[in-house]
Amino acid sequence: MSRRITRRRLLERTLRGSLAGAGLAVGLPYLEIFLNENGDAVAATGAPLPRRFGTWFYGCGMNPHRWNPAEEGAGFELTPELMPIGRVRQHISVLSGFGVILAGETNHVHRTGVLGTLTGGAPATTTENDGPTLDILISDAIGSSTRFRSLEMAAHGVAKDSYSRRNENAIQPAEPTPVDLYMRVFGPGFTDPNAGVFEPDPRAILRKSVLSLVAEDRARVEKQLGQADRARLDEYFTALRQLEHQLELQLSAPPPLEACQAPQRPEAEPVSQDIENVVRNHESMARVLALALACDQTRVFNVVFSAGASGLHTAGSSDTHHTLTHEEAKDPKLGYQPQATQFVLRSMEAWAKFVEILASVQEGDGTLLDHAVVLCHSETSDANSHSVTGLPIMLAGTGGGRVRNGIHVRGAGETTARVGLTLQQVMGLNVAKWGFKANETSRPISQILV
Amino acid sequence: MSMPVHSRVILRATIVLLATGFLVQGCDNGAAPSVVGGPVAMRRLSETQYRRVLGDVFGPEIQIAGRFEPDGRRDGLVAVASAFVTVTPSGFEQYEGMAREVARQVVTEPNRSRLISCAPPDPKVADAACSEAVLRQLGPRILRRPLEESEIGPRIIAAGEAADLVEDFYAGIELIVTSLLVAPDFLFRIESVAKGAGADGKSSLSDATLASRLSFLLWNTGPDDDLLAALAEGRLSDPESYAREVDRMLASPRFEEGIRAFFEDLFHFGEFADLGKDPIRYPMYSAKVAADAREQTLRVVIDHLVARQGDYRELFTTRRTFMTRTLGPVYALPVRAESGWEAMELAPGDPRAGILTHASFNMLNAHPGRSSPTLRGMFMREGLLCQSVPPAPADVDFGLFNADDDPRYKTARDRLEVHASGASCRNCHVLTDPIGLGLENFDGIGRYRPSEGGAAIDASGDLDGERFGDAVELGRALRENPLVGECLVETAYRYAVGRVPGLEERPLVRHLVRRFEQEGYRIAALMREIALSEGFQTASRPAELAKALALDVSPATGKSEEGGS
Amino acid sequence: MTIPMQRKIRSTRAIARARSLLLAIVIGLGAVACDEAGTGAGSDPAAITGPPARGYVMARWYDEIPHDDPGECPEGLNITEVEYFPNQWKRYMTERQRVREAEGRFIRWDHELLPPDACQEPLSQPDPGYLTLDGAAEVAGLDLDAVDSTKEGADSTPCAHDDFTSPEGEAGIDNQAWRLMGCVRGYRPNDLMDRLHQSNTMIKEGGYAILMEISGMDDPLDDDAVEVQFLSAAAPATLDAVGDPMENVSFTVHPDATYQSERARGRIENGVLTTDPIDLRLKIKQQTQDNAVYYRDARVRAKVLADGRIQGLLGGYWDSENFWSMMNDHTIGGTPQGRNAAFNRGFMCAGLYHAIPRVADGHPDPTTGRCTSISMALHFEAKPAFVIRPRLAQVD
Repeated sequence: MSRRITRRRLLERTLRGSLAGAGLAVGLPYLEIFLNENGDAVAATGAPLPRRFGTWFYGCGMNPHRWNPAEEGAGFELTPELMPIGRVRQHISVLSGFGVILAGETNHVHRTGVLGTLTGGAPATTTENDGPTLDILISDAIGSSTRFRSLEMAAHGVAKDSYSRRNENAIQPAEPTPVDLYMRVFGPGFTDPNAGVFEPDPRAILRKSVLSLVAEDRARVEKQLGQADRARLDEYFTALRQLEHQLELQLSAPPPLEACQAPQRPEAEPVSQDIENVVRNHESMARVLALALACDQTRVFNVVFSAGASGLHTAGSSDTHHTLTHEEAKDPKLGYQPQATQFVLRSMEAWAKFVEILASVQEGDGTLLDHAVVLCHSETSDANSHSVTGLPIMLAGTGGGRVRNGIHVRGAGETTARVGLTLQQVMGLNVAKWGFKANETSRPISQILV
Repeated sequence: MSMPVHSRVILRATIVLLATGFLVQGCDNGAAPSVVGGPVAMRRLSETQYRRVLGDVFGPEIQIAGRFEPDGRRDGLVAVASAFVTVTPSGFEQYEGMAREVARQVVTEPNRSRLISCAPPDPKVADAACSEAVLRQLGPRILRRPLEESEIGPRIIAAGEAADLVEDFYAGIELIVTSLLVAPDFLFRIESVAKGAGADGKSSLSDATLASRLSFLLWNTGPDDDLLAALAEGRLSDPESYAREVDRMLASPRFEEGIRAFFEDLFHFGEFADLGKDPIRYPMYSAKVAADAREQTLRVVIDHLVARQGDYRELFTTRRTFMTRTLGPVYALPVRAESGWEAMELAPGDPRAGILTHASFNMLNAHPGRSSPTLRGMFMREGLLCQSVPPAPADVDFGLFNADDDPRYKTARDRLEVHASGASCRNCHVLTDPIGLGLENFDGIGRYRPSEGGAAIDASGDLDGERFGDAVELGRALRENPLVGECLVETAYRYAVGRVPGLEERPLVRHLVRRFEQEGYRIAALMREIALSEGFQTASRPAELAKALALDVSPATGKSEEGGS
Repeated sequence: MTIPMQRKIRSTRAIARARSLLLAIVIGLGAVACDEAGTGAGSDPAAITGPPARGYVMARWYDEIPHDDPGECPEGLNITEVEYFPNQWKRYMTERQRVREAEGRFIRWDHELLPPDACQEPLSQPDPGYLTLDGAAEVAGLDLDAVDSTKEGADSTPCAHDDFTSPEGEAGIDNQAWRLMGCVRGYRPNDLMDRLHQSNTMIKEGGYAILMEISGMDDPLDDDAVEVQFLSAAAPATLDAVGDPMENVSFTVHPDATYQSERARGRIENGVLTTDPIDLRLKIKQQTQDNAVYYRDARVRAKVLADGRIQGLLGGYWDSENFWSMMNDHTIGGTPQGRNAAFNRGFMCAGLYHAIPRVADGHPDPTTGRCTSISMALHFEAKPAFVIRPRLAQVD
């Protein structure tokens, strides 16, 4: 009856140290996994703070001649469409001119640009993307010690608009409202790392027991399946293991984090793609996310402000951002589409607000933003022509002092895979080359590396 | 002895003609052609299916609240995508949360007495006998097949440990129920072939898989007690018994739910969840209006196809409909019933006839602030005629707007004509716009309008040679179009087996098309033919799905904003 | 979803067509033969032959408050009880505050510290006097008595009154309700009642929508014989996403026939609808009120707009007793709030009570000769709706 012994031991292990009902002192030894982290330990021991990575996506690009700065390096003049980032420009580097190299592949509109940047190459079809996205690669490496491997959120309220995916059939759905995000992170499963006394919840033990039961029965299910279905079953069990891990963390005392403070539950506000609602919900989500990061609930995040082929619209208008980019005439005097461009500016403002919010959380001797690096990008540059050259790319945060802020780098037609490669290296992955086919590269962007 | 050439040609031609005529007439009033079904798959339950199975097992008193993983869409159907989607970490969190909450309700009064037939001698202590009884009672209904012994022992032990840990027998029952509801066997329909399959590459589906397929096709839920009993007693292997079960299920009121689920999938009605309209342009729109519009179309379909056993093609011309006071304003029609649904028949001169003039399709296939002939045309082509529309090219040139012209063209037809005049645009738009424009008299929320921006709307057009002057005539053109019936059969088969039919199944599909026609385009007859076909009951060995689906080129998501209006 | 377009079986098409036609005929015949419970769109079978009746729901409904010269109340505005009995009110308010803080509840408005509640018992206080709005002014309304009368006229009666002039310059306008309330603070332009009108509170929060039905309207611009009826609905108006009453909503008529007026004869000339006088009672339920208004000899003068709306005036005589009860019949949880309402609006019930017969100008009492109703005018806007009269036997 080896199974019985295993199960009993499991229960005993998780209950060890817990006298029935008595509280535990904070000084319990941490689980081994905390010490396995990429050389990082936690604030309580005075070692460097965890580094975070995130993506911030908005749809329908910009007007290149009004967005791309003229001069390279530091102190470049802000162009009209970069004006909104003025107050946080010291935290941001602008990378212009990098794009997805097609080399004969079809430009799948509103798709090649985003998945190209995130997977390192032009997707061949509209239903497949080769390889997992950048954030998955990074969270595989650094996300295993936190409660959530990554957090996805969509300010425009559509859960299935998420670009975080291991493959086309495993797209991580995004939290579509600030309340959903709040409840996921700070709802019932949240253990405040700064709450002095810790008592393991027997319910968490029972929940873990359920998951063990299912996991142990894996072989019986697997043997009925073909290759493709086994891969999908694998995904299912990975998901199950994730939850098991969360429960393990819940059953052990988390180390205290100075910067951690559980936020107030946000008010339930209307959710739609009306730009005013999106801007407001985005800010609300950013605040919850900032504290989720400070409380080390996750180290990887993905924010969608508006989706590719942006459905943003203003109240009372029959047009969306996307339809305007195709149908609005360029104003002859201004040289751009006035209404469509309004959405570009609002998106840039929202990005600036996001950066500002991360920079407002004090952490250690700096801010949360100092210990993070965020990739801002869009699926196109000139949306009218669905161009995937010269995509708008920005990086915010120094990632713990490894990334240079405040400069402009010109990509001169090179692949955005260089951005992805650079970011993986910044986050400590052992990667020498990345990308596929015409976008494969082994050259990180040295100008932004410290 | 050789014949003169021309005689040989004539002879051959005659033979070919006769053979064609023979095939065309259909020598098929008899048996369906023998085919091998495609590969089996592991299919994730949709939200509706999840709720229905649990509703059947635990009753409607049990509340299920949570966020389900978004359904994919592949080859036009969520049913097909179910074989490709999986469970993500955040999706699993939701499933586990929902499972725990259902389990908690199950062991709490008043549900406890209703659902758990035994009681432990001491409620604070484990009791293996009662735990096992509960497991054997609930397990098969939840997993939709008899339990395997290896699933029983460990659960009883774990339930006992749980009961001892918190000194509550029912904590063990909660654990058992939760473990069943997060098991892959519950969340997925794991199809399998029967042991000892034939050497010709053709295997029968295992009885459990067949029972499951049948009940999800006809009722969109798991097998009921009678079907499970037939399954357990091995009666499903007998063709006559199987046919009796099929007929029983077709005659049941639950058949409506099966047809409802099929059309919800075909019509992309899952997209209602993400629908939003601009409140200033369409103040009459609300989530309740959208919900009623969706329900209206489904009611009309069920009433016509199931209750009246009507001809499918008549859906595009029927003037029978159902209305609520919420929908009344959208249709500008009086509604007598203060609450609920009222059956009515539109007057002969009414600008609406057929389901395409319903508010549902017109609000779903449109933008937040205006209508969209292209989206509507695309739905008709892809959903109703099974014709693929190529996606927009990346280098689409919209620089056709002259800088000094007023870009505000009055009607959608005017706007689209400028859009679509370029050669690269024309190829796609010529498929969708001429028929989508037939619905332009219905605005972005499905209200009737004779004009737009002061200019009269011209809703005339051409459906592959058949001219129409307005939406009513477009409905008639669709009714007359042979592709409509063929497409429904193809889609129903695809839905039933959960994949695009392989090349070797084509003869079966053609046979089903002919039978559909012969049986008066009735849906029950079609579903019966499908359920009794070899394609439905057999499978090839589990294989790489990607290889088998060599023809797949469609987008996985539903409505696309890509590149067009 | 990948059937190429070329896949058409041409030869079966013709056969299919023939079969479809046959099938369609059979089904068509079957449909005609089928019994159907559905109701036809449009009118009640018992209604008049000719064009179906057109229904309307009131989207706006508010008494006239003219924005005029502030000098029209030379003696100032009416005062409230708080100003008239300052000491007693001060003591009362102090006690009210004390009880609120100590016990968390409100004391009643008919508390012993206060003078008797004249809103409930009008003769329990002496008449403190009341300021009416006298003299000429520009006020919207209708000439109800077909006379441009003055107070000191040749045949001066107890009901004699001065008329107003309308903003369009029409003389002889009867709107004694404005004389009565015009010098009350809450009824002045931009004050309480005006603000409630702007926000359309009565319609948006009203418990029973107000309906109108016009029958016999062959031509919305010119028709010499139509009939107009006013009715209360059984439910409130349905509002759209921006808070305005929605068009084309179906309303069931209130089951109590008291709230269905008789049909007034009317006519439309050049798009202007006018009707002959009728009495009407309509349910009014909003905030603190749940009663019914009673207008006598009310008639319509309104424009029929191109989009189907009807906009204009309803002028008539507000029954004096009903007027008084509408002023006072406010309750919160059964507790009378008439005094509270008077205080908020800016008058004293005791004064108003005696002022009403002074300004009343309609329906003289045969014995006393005093008038028992007050001329008034209100603005309305009606949107198309469906008026559903419940049948005796309802088929589901």
